[in-house]
Amino acid sequence: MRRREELVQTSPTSERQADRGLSAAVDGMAFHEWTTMAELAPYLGKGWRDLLTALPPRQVEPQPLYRSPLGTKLDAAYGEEEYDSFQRLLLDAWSPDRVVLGYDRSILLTASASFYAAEEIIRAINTWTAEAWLARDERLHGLILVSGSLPEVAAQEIRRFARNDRMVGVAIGANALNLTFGHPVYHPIFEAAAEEGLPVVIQTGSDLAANLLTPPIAGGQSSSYGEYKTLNTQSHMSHVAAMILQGLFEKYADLRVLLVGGGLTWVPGEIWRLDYAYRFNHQSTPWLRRLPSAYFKESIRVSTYEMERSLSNDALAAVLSAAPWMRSSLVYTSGFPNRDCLAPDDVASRLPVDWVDDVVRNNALDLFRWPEGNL
Amino acid sequence: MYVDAAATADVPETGPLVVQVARREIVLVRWDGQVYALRNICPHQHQSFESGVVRGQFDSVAVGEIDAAEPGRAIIACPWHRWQFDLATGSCLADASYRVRSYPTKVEGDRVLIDIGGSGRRA
Repeated sequence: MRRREELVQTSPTSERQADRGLSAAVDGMAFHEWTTMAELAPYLGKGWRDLLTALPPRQVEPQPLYRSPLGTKLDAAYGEEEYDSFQRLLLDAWSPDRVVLGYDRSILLTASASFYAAEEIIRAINTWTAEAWLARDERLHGLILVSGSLPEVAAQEIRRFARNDRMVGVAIGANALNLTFGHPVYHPIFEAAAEEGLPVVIQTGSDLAANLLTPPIAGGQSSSYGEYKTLNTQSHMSHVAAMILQGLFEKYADLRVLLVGGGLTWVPGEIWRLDYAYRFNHQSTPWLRRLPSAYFKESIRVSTYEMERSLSNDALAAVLSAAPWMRSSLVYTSGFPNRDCLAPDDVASRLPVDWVDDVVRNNALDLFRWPEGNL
Repeated sequence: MYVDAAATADVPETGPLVVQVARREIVLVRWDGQVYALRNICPHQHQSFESGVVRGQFDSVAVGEIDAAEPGRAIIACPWHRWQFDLATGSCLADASYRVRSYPTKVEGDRVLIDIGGSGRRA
């Protein structure tokens, strides 16, 4: 019975309205995606256009190792009907106040070994997002996709869009150089984002490829999509520890980071472990001025997509009650058009009642530095 | 009120010395010519600092840089879980909400005196 209710409640094909007395939601990430190089061609330099349009599509992207045999996307998620589907199933059905557009397969480009070609495609994707998507609805906002392979180039790309107030953050995926995001090699990216007041969105799933420098999970290659989906939290755990202990937020105090796609119940345990270890290893990182948990609470946010949905509401409440500060950390992200995406009121129904407004709306307004109030 | 705690010569150069003073257990440490006195209770799990590690305190003015210990600035690390405390203030380096009671000291003749009524220096 419960399973059936879940299916109904989480199905974006349902005609139910999202608003059951909730404040209008702010969706911290729904995905959009290009399908053919023809869509990007107008935004490519001529030489690159001639080269890339002669190649099979997606040739430059790292190739995902695993696929769900039944598919992970809603019907008509991408392709010619993409925007119609997006408008009908998300904008009309859920009535969000704002939506931040993230990247699906394109996030794999952020760690491509073909970094020059990837940079050109990334530049085109950003312009395509800004020109072809954001004009469709004023509620839509974009992220500046950047590559970790060439951090200085990424910083230039961030600054290219920094004056576009519809581009509200920076999107990056796998650690292209097989170094955690705490490593100073990536500082140009974080420095540019902090200077321009843009949060950096780190998304799991981008490490889901064999032809990357960085392994998808720790401990050895997984053998199935299920293993990967369960364990992709590991990359977030590594980045969080590294970003905090290697002093990223001490160096860039205004920087904010949103973690997308790795669930949320791991967060309290990691923060407890970080604080505990820091107390007896303080002298190995004396540049830190506060406990790791203090940096996390101030600087890092966690997406509700993909929250652990197998937990009962009571069990989830028990986890969250042990870390009440996560009320300020969680940011509603639908994950649309993935089949496991969540409507605002579905997320709300799983949270403590007094958390709902913050998680579904206020934390995103704060993260993306939007003023309070509807558009 | 200063009270006699130990013979100066009994306080080792680097390691801690635990003494009883006015029914309190005090740990004495000599560092860089100065004698420090702390309550012998680690606030983490209430263990003794006896056999704890004493050494210069590193600092940092920038991420990725560790500065050489300043003369006179030192820490004592609890031998059980290595929580580290500033010798002068008793403040936990990692978390100032934890603090060991510290006492002013002075040397008169060949004796170390501690002010057990003093509040000590606070972080």
